[in-house]
Amino acid sequence: MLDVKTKSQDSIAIIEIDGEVDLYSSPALRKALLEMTKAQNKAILVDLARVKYMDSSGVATLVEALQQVSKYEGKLKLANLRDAVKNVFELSRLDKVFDIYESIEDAKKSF
Amino acid sequence: MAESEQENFLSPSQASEDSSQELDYLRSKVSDLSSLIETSIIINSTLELDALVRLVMEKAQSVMKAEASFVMLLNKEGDGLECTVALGEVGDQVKKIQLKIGEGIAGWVAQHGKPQIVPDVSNDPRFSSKTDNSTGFQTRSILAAPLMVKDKVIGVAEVINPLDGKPFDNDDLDLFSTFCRQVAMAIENTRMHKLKMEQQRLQHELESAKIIQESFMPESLPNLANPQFSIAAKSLPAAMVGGDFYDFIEFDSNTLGVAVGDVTGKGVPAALYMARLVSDFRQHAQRSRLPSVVFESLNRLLVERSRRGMFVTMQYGILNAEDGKFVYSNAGHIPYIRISNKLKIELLSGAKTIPLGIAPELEFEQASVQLKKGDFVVSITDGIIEAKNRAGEEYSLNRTLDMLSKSKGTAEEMVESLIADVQAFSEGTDQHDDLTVLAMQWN
Repeated sequence: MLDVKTKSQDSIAIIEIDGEVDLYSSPALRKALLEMTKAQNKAILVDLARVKYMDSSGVATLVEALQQVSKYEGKLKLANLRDAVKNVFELSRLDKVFDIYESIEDAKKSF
Repeated sequence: MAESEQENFLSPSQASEDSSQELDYLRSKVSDLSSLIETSIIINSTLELDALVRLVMEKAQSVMKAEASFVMLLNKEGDGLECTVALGEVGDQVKKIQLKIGEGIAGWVAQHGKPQIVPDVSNDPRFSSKTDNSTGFQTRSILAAPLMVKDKVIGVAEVINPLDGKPFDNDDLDLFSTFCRQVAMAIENTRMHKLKMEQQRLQHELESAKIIQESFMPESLPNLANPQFSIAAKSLPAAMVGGDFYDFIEFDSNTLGVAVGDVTGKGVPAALYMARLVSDFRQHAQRSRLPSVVFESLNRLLVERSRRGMFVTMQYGILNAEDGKFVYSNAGHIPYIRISNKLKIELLSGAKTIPLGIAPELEFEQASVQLKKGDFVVSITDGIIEAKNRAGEEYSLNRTLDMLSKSKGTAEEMVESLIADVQAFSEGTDQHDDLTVLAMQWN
């Protein structure tokens, strides 16, 4: 099961995900992200601190949101990646595609 | 049906005057029990949640002889109650009401998980007049009980205003609580059933995806006339179809193109994406013998029709059998592994870009490596290195390299031994992702 919570802080939309992001659970994340991109949120931050595992369905969900925000010149950033999730991004060079930060604070400063 | 059984069971003529009160009591108990049995029949025959709750509440309301009733269920966030079914004159208006946990009698019952009799709401500070104010209904007396599943509150049911004017008593509370246990169980069963149906649908989808995927893999290895090549490949789809593929392009007897890729996601969308990708790749590969040029045009195409963020990691290389030169590009895939016949092992990490289908206007590079006679070039997908054993450890790239450096013999033996080793490693676990290995040797 995936728990997706959204909140707004300093005009940044923050999504906190808790659980494993895979084929079954990624639609919940997609729904939350699409709500934000439909509203054309300029600054979206995804907090992955509680994500132990993410498969390619999860990564694709984030790629889709990234493609959406780039259409209206918004920004989507990721923070707090655990090693297992970081590996998924590094292995496929997606760390070059996403802006990835060590902490929420670092990410917030960068917007 | 219940009424007539009850008449046969005890008729007034059988009873003495003194015990007539007790008989009435017993008769009403029998009627209650009959209603409960009817309720359980309804519950077992209906799986449509709203219809089911409505039927049970209609029964409850008539047995409890109440003016109105409703069921509120905990919302997804778990911080409020939403009305599922409301019966009575103003039922439709009540259905729009939402309460926070702790708000009103229903909110209190949800918070504490305890049933409550409220004989006169005007004397109870917990009562919220929100519903009455918006509906014009006048609540006088309430019997409320939590809907519990495994000690967790999932909602609250209430019956309101006894028709006979007598306040609800402890007998009513016992009976209503029994009703509520059944309602809770029914709701839980319906939810579980829905979940199971959804899983079955997905399983069915995955099976069709597997068939589509398999139909796009080469049926056999290229029939190479040139003895300087030997090649082997194997792809084992997981039960949940990943989207791995491999392909060969035989340009001429001296030039062989090999591609391995992994489409994101699973199921039918991934399988369709892969099927289209493979046919596009075959077409574009005929237009240029430079892997970087093929990737550039393929990437543009995939970005244009990008859906749901799907992308593909892929590597494509062309081997020239005359001079042993291998030219390759890598889009976000695990690097090629080169194994020299003196058992030196290295990763060909050049020309690596991000996967295809993500960003437009991407420039692709290519790298080349001069093979020595007897060298192998091996390509794998992440299903190999991410295969897990029972302890949850990954097979890892290191184990892969170790295994490859130990294998001797032909390309086919190399492919078979690596896959067999991964399967032995992850024995007793479900295969999580597709396993694909391709090996070629230049002689």
